[in-house]
Amino acid sequence: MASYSRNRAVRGFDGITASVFFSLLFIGWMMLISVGFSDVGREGFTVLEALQDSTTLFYGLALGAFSLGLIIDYKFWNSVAPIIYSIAIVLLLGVLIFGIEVKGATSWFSLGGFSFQPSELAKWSTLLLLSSYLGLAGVNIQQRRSLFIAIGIVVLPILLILLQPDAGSALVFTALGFVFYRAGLNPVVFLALFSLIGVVIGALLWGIALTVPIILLLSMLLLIVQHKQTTPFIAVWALLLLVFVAFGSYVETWYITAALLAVFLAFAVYTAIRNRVQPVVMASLITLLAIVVAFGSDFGYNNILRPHQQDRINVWLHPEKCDPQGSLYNVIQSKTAIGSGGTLGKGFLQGTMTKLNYVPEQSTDFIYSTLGEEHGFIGSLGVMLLFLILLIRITVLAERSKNTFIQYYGYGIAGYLFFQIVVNIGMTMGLMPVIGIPLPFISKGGTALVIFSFMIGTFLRMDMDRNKR
Amino acid sequence: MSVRSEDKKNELLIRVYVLLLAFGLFACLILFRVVKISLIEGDKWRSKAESKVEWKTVDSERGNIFDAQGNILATSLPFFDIRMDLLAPTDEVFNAGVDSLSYWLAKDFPDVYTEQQWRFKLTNDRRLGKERKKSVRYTALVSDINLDQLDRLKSYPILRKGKYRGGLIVVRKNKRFKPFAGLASRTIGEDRENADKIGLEAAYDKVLSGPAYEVFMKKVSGGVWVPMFDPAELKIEKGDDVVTTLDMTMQDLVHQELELAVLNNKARAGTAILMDVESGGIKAMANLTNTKKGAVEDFNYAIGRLSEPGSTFKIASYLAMLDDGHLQLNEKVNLNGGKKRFYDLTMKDSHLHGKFEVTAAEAFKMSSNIGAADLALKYYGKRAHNARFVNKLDSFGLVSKTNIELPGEPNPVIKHPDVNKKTWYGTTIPWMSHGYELMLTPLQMLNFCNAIANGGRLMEPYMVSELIRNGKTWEQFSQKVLIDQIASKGAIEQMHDLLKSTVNDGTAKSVKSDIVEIAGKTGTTRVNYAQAEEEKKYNASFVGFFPADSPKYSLLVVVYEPKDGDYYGGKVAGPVFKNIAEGVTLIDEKLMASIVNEERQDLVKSYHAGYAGDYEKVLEFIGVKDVQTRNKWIDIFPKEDELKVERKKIKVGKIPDLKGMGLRDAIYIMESLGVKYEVFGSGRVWKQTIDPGKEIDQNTLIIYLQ
Repeated sequence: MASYSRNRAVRGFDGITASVFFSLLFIGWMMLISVGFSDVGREGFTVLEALQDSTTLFYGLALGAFSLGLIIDYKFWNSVAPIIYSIAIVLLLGVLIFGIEVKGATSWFSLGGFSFQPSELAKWSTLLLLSSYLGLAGVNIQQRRSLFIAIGIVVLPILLILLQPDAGSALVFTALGFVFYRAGLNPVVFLALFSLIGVVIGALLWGIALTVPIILLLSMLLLIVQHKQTTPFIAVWALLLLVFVAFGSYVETWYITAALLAVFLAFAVYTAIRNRVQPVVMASLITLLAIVVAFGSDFGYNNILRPHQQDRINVWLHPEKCDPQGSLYNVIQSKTAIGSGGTLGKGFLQGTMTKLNYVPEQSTDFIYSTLGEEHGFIGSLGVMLLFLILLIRITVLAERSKNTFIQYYGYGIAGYLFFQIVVNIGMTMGLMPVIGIPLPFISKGGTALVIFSFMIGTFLRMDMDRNKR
Repeated sequence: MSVRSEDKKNELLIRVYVLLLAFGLFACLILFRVVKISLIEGDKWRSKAESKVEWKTVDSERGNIFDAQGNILATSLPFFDIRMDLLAPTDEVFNAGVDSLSYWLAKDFPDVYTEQQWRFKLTNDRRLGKERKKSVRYTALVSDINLDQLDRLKSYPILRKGKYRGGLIVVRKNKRFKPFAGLASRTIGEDRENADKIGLEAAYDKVLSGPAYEVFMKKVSGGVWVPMFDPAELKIEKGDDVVTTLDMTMQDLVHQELELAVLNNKARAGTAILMDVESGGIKAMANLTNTKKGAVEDFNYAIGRLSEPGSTFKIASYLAMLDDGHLQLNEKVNLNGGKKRFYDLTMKDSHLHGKFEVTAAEAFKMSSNIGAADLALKYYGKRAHNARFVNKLDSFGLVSKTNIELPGEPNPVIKHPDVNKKTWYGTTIPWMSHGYELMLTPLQMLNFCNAIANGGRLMEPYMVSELIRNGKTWEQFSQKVLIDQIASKGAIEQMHDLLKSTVNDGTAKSVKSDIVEIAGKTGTTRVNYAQAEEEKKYNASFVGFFPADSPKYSLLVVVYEPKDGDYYGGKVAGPVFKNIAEGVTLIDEKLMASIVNEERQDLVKSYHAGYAGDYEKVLEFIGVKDVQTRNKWIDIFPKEDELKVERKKIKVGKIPDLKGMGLRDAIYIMESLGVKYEVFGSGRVWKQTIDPGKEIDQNTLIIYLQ
């Protein structure tokens, strides 16, 4: 019956995901060769030279890890998740003591010429334990205890990584929000979180004087929905908005804020008298919180962040304030590289901007600009579509599984990928702040490559086993 | 299925859709951005990218120009501008080395900055570069340094780590340099950026400049392009070297003699060309214009200036008549006392000599215009015969260019009766016969005489003998014969005799030399005869060859408009010719060996003279004891089996006997006595032009060393 089971195994293997994965791996390999090959004037570049390059070795390891993931039954991972998690935590502790410092962060172990980044292992093991825990019978994320334990599983490695300090890697863990989302966490929590992020961005982008009135205006909508007859209130609200937009720029902004606050409070009291008190108190508290956050982010920006951190935010939100030769340099060079590629690009190994190190961190953070320069719009579009297919496919595979562990695991992988792709690509085009987050499969970074390949491998195996109980 | 699980399923489905929507939204956002950057704003970013790095065409290092002996006449010396990429060294390297780097920069380039200033500049620029505040990252360190300084600089701290780790950026430049300065500088020419190239630099520009090649360069502050790679690591392409026929020792001699003549005679300018008879190779070519700054090479008269040759052209008219078989040298011609009317014009000889009946040979020797004119009129005067004269000149090659490779040679101006009917007069033949109503360049005149010296074979004059690529000859220019035989052997021989006798007892007696027999012809050309009211202006010239019996060199000297009284070719240009001819003979060892007789050679080999103190130790060593060292100057010469030491008498006010002395002693004596002197050759003195014991006067004492 051996042949039967083999056939079944092959039939269950998802070719689409695997093809996309292999394509990305190959593209990444070519890009790293291109970046590493920086002597433009030199002739006689050989495949042999490329193969001798140490980055190529990691692509071999990545294929090995992918295969390993395919071979081992998911139940094994499910059962050893706590052990692997513990090992990762120990390594994260160990790296703080025994690790080597690269660019101010102690995040690497160095073993006989190879370096290893335990935060990448932690990424996987945290996902593994989180999926495993949430998949347990009797665990329900709606329950406070389960939620706290799940959050604890995620927060512990984040804290340890922040100690290195490596904010970029720590931030990636927020992508595990995908798992919480899939596990059924109340959407209001996400709404609230995104709103808060919105407030922070708003405060930094427009300043407090503009953000607070906007918060007040939006909060009034929360009060309006408490009433049975909303139409007259909406009309008044629209009038207020009109006045604000029309005269906002002529009047001292604090007068407007004070006026809007007065209107809000009056309306809150009115609503509390006419309706129930509790929602009004809730709305007021939310408004207060938002205002506090707005002030807090303004204060934090001016008093807590160091100049280079302020610069990063300015590059993102206020590029007009930045020195093109200074903090804006990276992004401008990156955009120049992408833009100069045009439709079809300059060709493999022909990108001058990236070859000549005009683009900083081009093998890690800014690899996408090399792609844009050498392969143009078609190349960048192609890679983006591959990523999109991969994300959708992983989501679909996760959904078709009957096993919650596999579902959560798939969502986690998709989350990591999505977060890193959006932040990295966005960063090269000035859409996102410049945080050192690599592009999966393509940026240089052996540990990340091997771990991601391993995750895809294990997930495809899980998909093959999805009908097993 | 319960309602509750149905709800849950719906909610899950919504969650999935929301997620996929988020994927799509972000994909669209990024897509929009990529489209905007690479398609809509593509041109803007592309121009930004291209202005930063480019393949720039770089000239190869220009080849050298050599003379025949391998002396460098023109070369490109590499100079370097040094910049430093201050962000290339790590903090550790920079901080450790900045103090000593500043120290060495201040020490080796003291006129740029002090040590403190360097340290401040380097650290400050680096800080600004790090903050990307200003584009001072590529700081200019020093400029225009030479290869030695570059080697030193490469050993400095930090910089010694090279381009990538030390930030050393070397920008190479070339400057053209002529080691012989003014010598033949017009002939060698100029390689200028903002003006046309001239001389050999122009003629061989393509060969010298070599292939242009491309170097990958990037733009740094100040719009400066620097190579991406260390130019020292790149193979630098080099243009081919050009080897000329010039001989700088002879050029030096020709230049000096001509300079003296131009300055002493207050002439407007002068030119002298020395040619190798057999090959037509130019050995020396001097062109001097008299300016406020002295005599300088600023125009190539030899090649570019047309003028009426005057009496030297009688060589051509006599040769024509001889070759046509008309003229017998003993034929009588009537000079009419030195003044004769031809049609409506009166012709004069240089002075009213009062001679009437003379032979044609005598008329040539005394350079009688009337003689030449009368004879020419006799044989070519008839309208029908006019053309034969001009055609004869054509067969001598005189109507065509010489085709020398230097640019700027004009065609000779020689009228033809069939072509220039309106300007062809009855007086044209008589006047052409003695070098008027026609114009030649000095080189064209000389080349014709060179053919006579060469037994009738007209060579194409040339200046470049070979091209050298990568140290090996890759093209050799063979000598080119323009006309195999311009006139019959007999006519050529007769012309040789005429030219010899002109020097021996004719108008060119002043040219007669003890060292080498010269054959030649004087020329004195009235320049502004058309302007009777102006002060008379003349060009003095002398053309000829030496040694007269087996010609090796031909030479032409022209002094334009001398203003210091003398203007005759024999007096102004002749001495220059003679001095050059003698000097060249001494320089040319083979020629010298064939001339110097054995007696003289023995004398030179054994005869010593000099300061006694110098010889004392030598004499003591070989056992001569009774040297009277009180005598300051001694003669030492072997007599049978012994050395004879005699006191040399040096008297104040009298020309000293310098024979046998080394140059140092000779100069010491001449300087202390106040003798005007000139020196040729090297070794010991074997000849002096003024006999010992004569009163010292303003005449120049020339000594020859061998």
